[in-house]
Amino acid sequence: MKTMERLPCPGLSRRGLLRLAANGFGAMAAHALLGGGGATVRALPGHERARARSVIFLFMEGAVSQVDSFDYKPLLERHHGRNPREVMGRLEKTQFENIGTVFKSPWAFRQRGESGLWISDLFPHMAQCADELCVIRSMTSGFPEHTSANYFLHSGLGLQGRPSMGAWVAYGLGSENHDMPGYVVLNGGQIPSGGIDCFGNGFLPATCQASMLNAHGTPLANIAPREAVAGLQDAKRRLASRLDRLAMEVDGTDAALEGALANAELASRMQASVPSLLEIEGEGEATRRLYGLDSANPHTRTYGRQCLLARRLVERGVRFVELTIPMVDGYQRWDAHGNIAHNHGMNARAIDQPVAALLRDLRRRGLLEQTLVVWAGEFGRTPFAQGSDGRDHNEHGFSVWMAGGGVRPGMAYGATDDWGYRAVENRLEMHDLHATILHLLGIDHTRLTFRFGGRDIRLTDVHGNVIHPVLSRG
Amino acid sequence: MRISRLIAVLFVAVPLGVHAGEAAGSPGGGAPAAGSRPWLWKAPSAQQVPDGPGSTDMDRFIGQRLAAAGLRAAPAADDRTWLRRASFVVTGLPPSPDEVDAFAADGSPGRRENAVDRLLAMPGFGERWARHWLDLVRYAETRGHEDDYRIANAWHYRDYLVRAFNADVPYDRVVAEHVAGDILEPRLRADGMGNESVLATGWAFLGEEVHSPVDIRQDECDRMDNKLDVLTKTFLGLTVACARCHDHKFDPIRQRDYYAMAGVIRGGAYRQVRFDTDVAHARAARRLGTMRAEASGAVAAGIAEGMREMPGRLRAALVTVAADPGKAPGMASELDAAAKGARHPLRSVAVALGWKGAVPAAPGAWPPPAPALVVANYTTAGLVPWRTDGPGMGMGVVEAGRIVPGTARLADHGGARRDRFWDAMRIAPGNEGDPGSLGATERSGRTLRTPSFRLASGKVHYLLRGKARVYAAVDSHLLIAGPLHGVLVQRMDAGAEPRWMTHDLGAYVGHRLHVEIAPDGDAPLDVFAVVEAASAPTGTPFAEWAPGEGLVDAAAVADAAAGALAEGIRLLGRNELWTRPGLAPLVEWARGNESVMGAGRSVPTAAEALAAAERELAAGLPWESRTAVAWWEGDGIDEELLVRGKPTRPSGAVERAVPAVFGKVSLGGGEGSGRAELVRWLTDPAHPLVSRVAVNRAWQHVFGRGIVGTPDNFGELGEAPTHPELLDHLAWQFVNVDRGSMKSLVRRLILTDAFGRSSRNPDAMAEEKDPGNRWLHRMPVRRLEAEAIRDALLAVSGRLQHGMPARPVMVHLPDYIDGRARPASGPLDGDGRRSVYLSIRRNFLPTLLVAFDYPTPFSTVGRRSSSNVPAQSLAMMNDPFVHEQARLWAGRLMRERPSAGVGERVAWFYKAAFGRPPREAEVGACEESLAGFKAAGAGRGDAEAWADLAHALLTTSEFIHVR
Repeated sequence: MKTMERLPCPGLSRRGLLRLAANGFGAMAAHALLGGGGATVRALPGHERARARSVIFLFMEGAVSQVDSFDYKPLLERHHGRNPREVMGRLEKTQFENIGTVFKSPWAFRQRGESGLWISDLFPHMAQCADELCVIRSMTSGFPEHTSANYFLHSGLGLQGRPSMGAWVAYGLGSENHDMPGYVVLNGGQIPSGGIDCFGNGFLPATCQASMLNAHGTPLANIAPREAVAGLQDAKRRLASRLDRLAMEVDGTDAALEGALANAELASRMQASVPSLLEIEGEGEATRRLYGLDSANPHTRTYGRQCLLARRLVERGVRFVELTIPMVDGYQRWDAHGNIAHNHGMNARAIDQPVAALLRDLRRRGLLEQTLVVWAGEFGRTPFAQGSDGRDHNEHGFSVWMAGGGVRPGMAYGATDDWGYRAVENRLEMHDLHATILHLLGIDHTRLTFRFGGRDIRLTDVHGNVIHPVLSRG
Repeated sequence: MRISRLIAVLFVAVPLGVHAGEAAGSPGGGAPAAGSRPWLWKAPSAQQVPDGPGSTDMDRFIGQRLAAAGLRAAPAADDRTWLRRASFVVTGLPPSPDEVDAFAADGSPGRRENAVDRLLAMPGFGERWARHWLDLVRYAETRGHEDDYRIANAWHYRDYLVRAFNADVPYDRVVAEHVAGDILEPRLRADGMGNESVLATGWAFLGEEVHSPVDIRQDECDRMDNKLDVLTKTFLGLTVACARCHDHKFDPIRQRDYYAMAGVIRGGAYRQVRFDTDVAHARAARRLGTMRAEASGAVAAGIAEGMREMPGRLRAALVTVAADPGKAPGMASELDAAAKGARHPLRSVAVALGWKGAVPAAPGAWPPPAPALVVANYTTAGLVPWRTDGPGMGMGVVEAGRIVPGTARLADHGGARRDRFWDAMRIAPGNEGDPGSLGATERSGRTLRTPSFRLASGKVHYLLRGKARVYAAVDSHLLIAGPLHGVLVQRMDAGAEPRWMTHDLGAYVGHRLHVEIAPDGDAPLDVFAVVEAASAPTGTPFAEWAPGEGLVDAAAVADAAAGALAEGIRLLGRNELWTRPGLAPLVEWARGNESVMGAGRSVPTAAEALAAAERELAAGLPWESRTAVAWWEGDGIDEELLVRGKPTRPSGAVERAVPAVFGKVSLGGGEGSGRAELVRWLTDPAHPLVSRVAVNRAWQHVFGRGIVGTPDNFGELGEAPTHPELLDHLAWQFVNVDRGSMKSLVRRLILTDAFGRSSRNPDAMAEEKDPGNRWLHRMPVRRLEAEAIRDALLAVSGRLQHGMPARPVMVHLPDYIDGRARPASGPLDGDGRRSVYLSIRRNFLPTLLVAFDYPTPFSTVGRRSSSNVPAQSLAMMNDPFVHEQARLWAGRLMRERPSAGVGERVAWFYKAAFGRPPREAEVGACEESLAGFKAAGAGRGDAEAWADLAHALLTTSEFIHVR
C-alpha cells in the first residue's frame, strides 16, 4: 500500500495537485503551493516578474465622485447651474433620469506634493500622500447599476457566480502563511450589493474563497472555541485525529481523508493565529493614533482598525486583502444621489486618515514596495447634478488609484473630457485594471485559467491589457 | 379545445425522420460538421455486452476496461460499508444503528436487493435526488442583487421535484413537464386535485432579476441567456449559450442556433398559476360553456318573447316624444342622454329626430390608418389568439348579440368580458405576493394577454369599459420595484361606457412587449381592442345601426327604429342576433329600458333555470388556491440574430429550430412559442443526448464521477466518456427497458459489483496506473455534500423531522451576517428539517452549507466542487448547531442505553455515525478520552463527557466521508 505524501498545502495531495494541473492550474501555482513559505517576492516560472507580493484592495462601494476627488474640472465651476444638455451636448441615460444642472464640486482642488497631482479637499490626508499615488482618471465600467458593476469590478463579469479577483490571486499564488488563508476580506460593515458573492470563489476550489474577518463582533465564523474548559477542545481534536488514524490503519488511507485531517490542523492553528492577528494593542500609541483609532468618529476608528489589520495581514503573507467600508450613511455607501456634500463628507472622514496612515505605515516598514494598494469604486458619478445637489451613476469615466507594489508613484494616467464625464484619453476597462494587478503579482493574466463549463476561463475573459505606462521602471 | 389540439401534437408519435447532416439546406448555410465526437449526434443503441466476469452487463463493460488497463479490481466491500454507501447515495441519510444491525444479521442472498428497494421506497429518495436536480436549475427563492427580492412561491417547484422523484415519474415526462408543463394535459397531484405538471415550468424564473436595468433589452437578453444556458446544459449537456456572440468556438453550434432556440424561450411569459384549482376550473369552465351554450337558445327565446310588444311601444314612444317631450319623459331623458353620449345606442335616432343638442357623431376611422397597429380586436371571435390565465376573463370573445355569460342580458358590443361566475376565486392565506407592483398573484386566474408586438410610436391605447389593471410586459421585465419602469403597470378606470384609455410607453419605442389586462378589484371589465398608435383611434371596431338618411318626419324615424328593433328581436328569438351585431346595442338598450316605454318586465324562466344550474356548479367547486411561479404560453417569436450578442445590432429574425447539427427540426410551425414542438423533439426515444445526459448524471451521483466527467458539457471541451459503450448501453436501456424510471436506473447501478467494491487500493500499482480511478478499479472515498452532512447530524442526534414542511424554513443567520434585505433569522436547527427544505435566498445562503461547497445558484452546476477548507473544520468544531446536535445525540444515548457499559455505548455511537461497530482499539481510545473529558473541569459528569465524545466523533473525517 502506498501512503500519500503529506504536502504543505492542506488538503492537496500530489495526486490532487496533478488533477488541478490538468485543469489548467499550471506549473506556477504548483510552484507556489509546493514552495511554501518565505516572505519574499518570488518569480514564477513562465510568468511575469513579480513586483508585488500582496494586494490591499480598498473598495469604495457606492461609487466615489471623480469630479469631487481626483479629477479636477474647472469648466464645472464656470458653467455651474446651467442646463447640461445645452453646454455639454448629448447625455447618456442615467439610473434615475432626474438630471439637474451642471454642478461644481463643493470641495476646492489643489495641486499636491512634488508631483503636483490635483486632489480636492475631500481627502486632506490622502492629499498629503499624493506623491505615492498613481491616479488613473480614465477608468470605465460596463454597468451603471451597483450589483452588476460590483460583480464586474470584482470578477470581470457583471453577473453573479464568477470568481473574485482575490480568489484568482489565491488560486494562482496560494498563501505564504500556512496559518492563514490566501484571501481575506476585512468587513467594515457594508456587505456590497450582490452579497458575499463579490468575494466568492465561483468555480475555483473553495480554498480560494475569501475568509471574512469582521471589524466588529465575531471576527470570523466559528473561530472561537465553545468549550468552557481550557484544553477540552484540544482533547477532542486529539481523539478525533486518533480515531481517524485508527480507522485508516484498518480501512486504508485516502487523499480526501488525509486532506480533511490536515485541514482540521490548519483550523486549529487559525484559532490561535487569527486572535493574535487581532491583538493590535501591542502596536504602540503612535501607530494607533496614526490610523485614527483614537478618533472621535466611530467610523474612522472602524476603518482605521481595518487598515491596520490589512497591514498585519500582508505582513503575515496573506495575498489579497480587501476592505469593505463601514456603515457610515446607512446603506447609502458612497451612493450620493442627493446631498453629496453630506454623503461624501461623511464617508471621506471615515476613510481618509486611515488610508493615508496605511500608505505611510507600509512605506516606513518597507512593505509598500511589495504591497500593491488599490483604491476603487464600481463606477463614478455624473458631473451634473441629480436633483439639486446629488450626482447619479456614471460608468463612462472615473478615477481609481494604485500605490506601491511596482506602480509609478506621483502620476496621473488617462483623462476624461473637459467635464469629467467620459474617458477620452487612454480609456481603460476593468479588465485592464485586473490584468495590471495580476501582472504586478507576476501573473500573466492570459495564462491564469480554469476549465469550467467547457471553456478555459480567465479573470479577464478575452479582454484586458496591462497598463504599462503606470508601471515603475526597474 | 386548444389544449387537446396540442396534446395531439405532442403525443402522436411522429418520427423525426431526419438525421444529422441532412440539414444542409437550413437557413444560414447548412449544418456545421459534427466535430470530433460524431457519436454525440446519433441515437444511442443497445451495445454488444463483452464477455467476461461480472454479475451485471455494466460490470462486464467495466471489466473489459480494467483488463485492458491491466488493472485488478478491489475486492468487495463488507456489508456495512455497502449499506452506509447505499443509504447516502439513495436517501442522503445514514442508516440507523438498528438498520445496521438488521442488515448485518440478514444472511439472505437477496439482502442487498431488498435493502435498495427499501431505500428507494423512502421519501428520502425524492428529497435527495430533487436536491441534486435543484443544482441544475440554479434553484433559489430570491432574485439576488440589490434587495434580494423574493421569487413568490418558488418553493412549490422544489416540492414538485421531491414528489416527482418519489413517484418515479418517467424521465421523459419530467423533461416534458419542465419544458411545457403549462401546455401538456396536466398530471394531477396524488389527491386527484391540483396541477403537478405546470409547477415544473417554474424553473425558468428561478434566475436572478434586477429591478431597474437602465438597458431593459440588454437585461432581457441576459435573462434569456441564463434560461437557455440552464435548459441546454441540463437536458442536452451542451453549452449552447457559448454561441450568443459568435459561432461556438469548439462545438458544432452556430450563432444562428442560439437565436433559433432563444426565440422559443422568449415566447413564454411569467405568471403565478393557481395550481390547486386550475385543472378543476378548466374542467368546470368547459362544463359551464356547454351548459350555457345548450341553454342559450331557450334563454334568448325567452328574452325575445318578453320583448315581443316592444317595437310597437318604441315606435309610439318616439312619435309621442317628438311631438311633446313632456308626454314621454322617460324617452325624453334617454334622448337627452343619447345627444350627449358618444356611444349611446339612440344617438343616431336622436340626430334623425333633430333632438335638441344631438349632432352626428364625428366620423371615426376604424381600423385606424397606418402606421397604427391593431394589436388585438376582441369584438369578433377568431381575430386574435385567445390567451388567458384561467377563466376569470371568460373562455373566449363574447360577440355582440350573444347572451352575456351568467346573465340574462345581451352583449351590446363584442369583447372579452370579466365572467362573474369566477368572482369567488380566492388566494390561499399565506400565499406570497410578487415584490413591486406587478401583482401577478392577485391577477392570477383572471388575466387576458394580448399578442406580442413592437412599440413603434410609444403609445398603447385600450378600448375598455370598467376598471383594469394593465401590465405592459416590455422586454419581459417583471421586477417592477425600483426607480425605473414603474410606468409599465397602470390602473385604469374607463367608466360605464366604452372608452379609449392611453398607456404612455414613450421610453420604450422600438421594444417588444405584450400586454396583460385584468379586472381591478370587484369592478366589471370589458376589453374590446388594443391599438398601438401615436394618438388614440377616433373610431371603434363596433358595428353600428342608424335609421338612415332622408327620413322626412318623426314617424319615419320611429318606423325605422321599430323595424330595426323588430328585426333584432326576431333574430334573438332564433338566437341569431349575433349575425347582425349592429342591432345588438339597440336590442340590449330596449331590453334594459322597458320602463322607458311604459311596460313592466317579464323574467325569462330559462335564464332562471340556467342561473340555478350555475349556482349548483359553483357550489361544488374548490375556490381557494395557492399560486406558484410558472410559464405562460405566448406567441411564437422568431428572435433576431444579434451581431456580437449586442441588442443594438439585430440582423434579421432566425426561424425557431433545434441546433442544425441535430438535423432540420423546426420549432416554429405552430401557433405557440415552440415549446410544445421542443418537447416532442426532446422526448423522442431516439434523441441522441437527453438519455445519455440523464444516465450520466445518475451514474455520477452513484459512483462519484460521471462516465462523462463533465456532466453539463458533452461537447468538445467536456471530458470524453471513459466507457462510451457502457454509456450508450445504459442510455438505451433507460429509454427502452426502464422506460425512464429513475428508480430502476439507480437500483440497477447500485446493484453492480463495481458499486459494491471496497474503496481500498487493491494494490500499489493500481493507483499508479489509474490515478483518477477512471476505470473504477475501486470505489472512491467521497466527502458528503453539504446537505448530507447537516442531515446526518440531525439524523444521528434524533432531531430530524421527517416529511415536507408546509413552508420553507427560514435559514439561520448568525449575527455577523448582515446586509441589505437581511431576512429575520430562522431557528438554529432549521426546525430539524432536511436541508432541502431550508429557504434559499441568493444573498443569504445558509452559512454551514456554503462552507461545504453549496453552489452559488447562477447557472447549471451538475458537479459540485468538493473542497477542503479550514472553515469546514471550524464549523464542525465550533458551530453552535453542531454542538447542539452533539448534546442531543448524547442525551439520546443516555435515554436509549441507560444502563449500558462503555463498550456498548461507544458501539451505539459508532453504528449511528459510521454505520459500523467500533474496533477494540477505538473503544479503548474513547474510554481513555472519556476519563479525560470527565476530569477536564470541576462538576463535570457522565453527561458532559459523553457529549464531548459525541462531538469528537462528529468532527472526525470519517463522519463526513463515505468509503
